[in-house]
Amino acid sequence: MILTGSNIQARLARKAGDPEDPLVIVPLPRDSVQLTSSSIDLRLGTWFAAPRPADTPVINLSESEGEEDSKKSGKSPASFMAQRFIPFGAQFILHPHSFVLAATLEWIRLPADLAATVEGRSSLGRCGLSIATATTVHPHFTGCLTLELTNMGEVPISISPGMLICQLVLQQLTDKAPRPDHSSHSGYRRPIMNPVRLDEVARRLGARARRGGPLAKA
Amino acid sequence: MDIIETTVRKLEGALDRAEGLLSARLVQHDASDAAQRLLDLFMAQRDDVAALVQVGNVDVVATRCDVALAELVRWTPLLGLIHRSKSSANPFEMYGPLLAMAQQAVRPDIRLVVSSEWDFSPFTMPHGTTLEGFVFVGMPATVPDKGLLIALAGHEFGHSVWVVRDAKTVLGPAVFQVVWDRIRARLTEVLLALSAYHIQDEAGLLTLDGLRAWRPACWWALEQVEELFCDLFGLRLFGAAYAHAFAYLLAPGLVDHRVQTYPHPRSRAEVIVRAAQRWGITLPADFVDVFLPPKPGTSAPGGLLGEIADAAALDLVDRLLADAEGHARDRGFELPRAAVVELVRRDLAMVVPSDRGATLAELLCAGWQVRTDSGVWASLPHILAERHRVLDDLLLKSAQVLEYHERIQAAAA
Repeated sequence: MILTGSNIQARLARKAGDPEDPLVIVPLPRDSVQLTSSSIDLRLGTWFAAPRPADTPVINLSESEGEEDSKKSGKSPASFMAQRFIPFGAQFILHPHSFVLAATLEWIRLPADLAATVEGRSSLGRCGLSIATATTVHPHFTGCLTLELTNMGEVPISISPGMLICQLVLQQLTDKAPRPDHSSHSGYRRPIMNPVRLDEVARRLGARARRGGPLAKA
Repeated sequence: MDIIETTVRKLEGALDRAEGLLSARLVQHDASDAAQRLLDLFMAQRDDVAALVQVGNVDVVATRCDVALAELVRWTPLLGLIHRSKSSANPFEMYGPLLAMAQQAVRPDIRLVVSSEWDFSPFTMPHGTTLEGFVFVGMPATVPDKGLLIALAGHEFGHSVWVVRDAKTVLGPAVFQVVWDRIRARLTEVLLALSAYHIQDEAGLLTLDGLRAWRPACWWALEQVEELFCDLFGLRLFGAAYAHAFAYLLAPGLVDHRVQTYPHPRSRAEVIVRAAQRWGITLPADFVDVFLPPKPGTSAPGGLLGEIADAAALDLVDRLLADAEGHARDRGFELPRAAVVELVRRDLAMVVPSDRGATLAELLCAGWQVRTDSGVWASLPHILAERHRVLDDLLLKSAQVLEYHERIQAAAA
């Protein structure tokens, strides 16, 4: 069930009286501007993470190391990105076909019974600005949302911190989700690169191929 | 080697770096303006030195080049500080609220540059006319938790207040008096220590030669008094957050490293505790104990005069306390409000930034409460694993929310 604008408003207002597990958005959205009938508009934050092509031979997603290993080897996806702060009032120029990570200005905290999806704004999309590909935000998430900004068009786009950049659609779950017991990439104010993990099946498949089994010969 | 050519070459090297900074679009406008001031300085020096080719007197040329090189040596570290203001490790989100505090504390047109230092003298505030009106806050580059540490900027604001109030002139006679009182109390030892000056008695100490002999004690004491004032002013502005940040950075202290122009770190901690009691600021019971005491049997670096300077500076603590309190109150600074700090702490415990109209000082006080409470986030293993990083992010975001509201209100006004 998608929460309406007034539902969202009501959930946000419960923060003071329901400190146990509230929905929180900081800074609090300005109702008339940011709340729509079925979503809430969020603003662009001040941190960007851009790839460093000259330092990056390849981002190898097919033989992903564990998070700790990749930190040690300096080959974590995050190491290929340069963080940059753009203050309020300044602009970031996104060139055609280029890609940058950004964060929302708002810090979101989702309770156990809410999930969310991040969606673009049609007015920006029509200018060629795509804002996200991985859009699901899980219950218990807390932090600024990382956005994947791409200029799909043919001309540079100027964006600035504080502008409305995306919309968050909140969904009521049928039951409360359990708390994560491991890193959920929560608690960041800057855009982050999640370490890419290969699951056990993918790892076994790769190991078999590398050992030169029948499938590899084929 | 031509001294003029050498000097010009060195100045032009610095000019290149200053020009590079100006074209680098620094995040902080004030950093660009500071770079411009340095560029103007180096350019003027370069032009003056280059014009010396018309001068035949070798001594005049050497003296002028020496002056120019001294300026270069003096300001080059600051050029580096401005360069490092670009680093993404800097607590940029604190900049707006911190600038507002600096302008309130010092004067409305003060400029601020927040950057990082590598030489463990983390905060600088250059005096003089070249960068008059600028406050530079250099966060220790290798120390994490930069959000929490920003409370130490209160000390740096204290240096600016000291200059604005011309406190050195105002307090000079009082410092002279307490040093003199201390000398008279240890007259026999002092006369023995200064035997090289052939001073026979108390009256001899007040002759020109006598005064020259014990003048270092006055100078050291005056420098120490300034440092103590800055600690007190920082504490008055940031409350317990200042004391925690002070201990985080300086404790336990280095046993064999003592600079006579600073009070012993443990003495500074004792003064902080004394002021905290006066102002109703709660500090950990073992606050002083985390600082190493002076090594038994060792004296101050300045010997007997150093000991006298140490004691004399502490004699003025009550006056400094009143001065810090008076200036803070005149400028409209309240002590961090306990009730607001508690609300912020609850927000942080919920892993959300605070948006309750708290001051920067209140945010930081709550931040230190969370940092020193190992029970916070105990039920959130995914947060607990990175608790220091998460806390820093929460505080920096909370500070940005302050700036967000201030900007909206200012634009509406």
